[in-house]
Amino acid sequence: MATLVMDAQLRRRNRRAAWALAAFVLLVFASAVPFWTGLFRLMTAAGGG
Amino acid sequence: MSTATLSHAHEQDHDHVPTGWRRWLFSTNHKDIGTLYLIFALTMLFIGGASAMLVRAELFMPGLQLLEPDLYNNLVTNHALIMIFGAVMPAAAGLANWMIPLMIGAPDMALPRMNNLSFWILPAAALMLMLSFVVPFFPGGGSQINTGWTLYPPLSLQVGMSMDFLIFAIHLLGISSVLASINIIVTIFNMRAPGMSLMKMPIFVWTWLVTAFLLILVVPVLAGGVTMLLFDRHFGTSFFNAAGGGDPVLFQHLFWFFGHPEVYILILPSLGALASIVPTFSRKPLFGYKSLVGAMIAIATIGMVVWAHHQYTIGMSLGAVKYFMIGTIIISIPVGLMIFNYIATMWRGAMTFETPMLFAVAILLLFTFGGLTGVMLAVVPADLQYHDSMFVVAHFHYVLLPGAVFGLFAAVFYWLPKWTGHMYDERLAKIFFWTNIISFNITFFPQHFLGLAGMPRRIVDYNAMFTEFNVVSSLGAFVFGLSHLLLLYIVIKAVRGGRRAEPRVWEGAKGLEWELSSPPPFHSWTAAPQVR
Repeated sequence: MATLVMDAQLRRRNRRAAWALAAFVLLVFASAVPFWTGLFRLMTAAGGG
Repeated sequence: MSTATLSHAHEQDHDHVPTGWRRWLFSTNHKDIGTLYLIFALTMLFIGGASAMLVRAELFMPGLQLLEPDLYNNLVTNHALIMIFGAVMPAAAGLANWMIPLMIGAPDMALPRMNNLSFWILPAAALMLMLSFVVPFFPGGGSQINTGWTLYPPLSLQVGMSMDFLIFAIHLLGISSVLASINIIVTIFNMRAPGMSLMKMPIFVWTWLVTAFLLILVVPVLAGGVTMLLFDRHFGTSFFNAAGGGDPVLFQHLFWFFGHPEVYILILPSLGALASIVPTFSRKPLFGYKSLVGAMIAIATIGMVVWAHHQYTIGMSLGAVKYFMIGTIIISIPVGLMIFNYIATMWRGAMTFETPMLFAVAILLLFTFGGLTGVMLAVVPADLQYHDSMFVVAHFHYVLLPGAVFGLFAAVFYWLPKWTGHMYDERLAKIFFWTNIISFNITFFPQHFLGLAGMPRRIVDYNAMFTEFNVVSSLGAFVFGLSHLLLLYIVIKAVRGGRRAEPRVWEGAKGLEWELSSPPPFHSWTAAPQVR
């Protein structure tokens, strides 16, 4: 019978993974504004909107 | 699918079980938090449903009966936002909280305290959301929110302070969703029982993994969009203000980059639950597990790059229009694959039709129908005619009610005996199913004809020629809305008592969750099962 105990090591692993995902979310949030403004300018310049 | 051996060590509740209000307010237990999510979602379902009933009461006859035009638009906005962010998403999160740890053999979610936080942000967000609808009724409260859930500028730049409440509500809801998604991803990656590889996970867990990734990719973009809106309103920027050199169409792109994947966020967990329900009541293994996983990933990936099919009428370049049209139509391939997999699972199975299976069959029929009108709307020349008509309202209700809400109902009936330890009243549940499905069709089917005949949506009044179909639609809506009281009664009855449920509630059920007692012990898997 294997055990999956929430020991200190697993907690650390979980926290590390959560922080990595949170950093990714912040990156998406921060880059959303310039990315979309730029893409939109590109599209409108090409005759779209 | 996986099978498991386990000892009965998990049957012993060795830890203290909290009681009273502290159990709920400070809960870090995935099942309690799942229950909180589900109660919250059910409450919001009734609030959002009440606003829809008012809308249909107004549309019962042409002319102005009950509601002023601004209040009508306020209620339309209120209905959409409450149903999407308050009812369906939290209900799906409730299922995730309850079932993912049970299904993958984990003792709890990976980050239990964050789990508590992501739920308790929700009531605050809901309060802010509802304040945004009532603030205009107070002195100095400004105008009502009349933008619809899409919040398009320039209208959203002109609405009073209620729009600021709404923007902050969206920020809070977004934070809650992102925290829940991070928790779900970490749980699935780090907490699976030994032997439970990714390709042995139940499809429901897979759908939530894909949904959680979708959420963390698109919610920050919506947050960025509404933050820009806030800046335009109060800090002198002109992202969307044409008078200052901005463009309102930019907001439409930002919004729909979130808004279109949001549809898949709403329907994928429900369709994932069907992958447990259909094999159980067909007494056959799921057909095409790997292709289902592939289809889901394809739906999510393609679904993220076709957002502008909601904006055909803004005047995009021909190349852009062609790309968005073809991309949208291509999505019907993986969606169709999912549907065919479920039909193939049923094929020559020893099927029985308990309520979850009845809902599953209804979903396959009605969701496919909603998908077909979706293909019609994806075709640009046709969409230019249907755009902003009641046809669109009929289409997305045929997608979202069967695809998301009925799927949630099916899942609730399927797992309710596991959660409560009691069987629900099958006779009443079947009455609920038939009332619900028939009145749903009476409500929304006529709206296709109304739209094709030219009735616009989001308008409080209509031409007298549309009266008959509107009367039928409103009568259906009243029955549909009231039928949910029966759902509430069935759930309360099952919580309070009834025939004891076995650990394996359904004869053909497979998966780890059925190895535990019904209801499961307070601490689910204190010893992890070995998955073969």
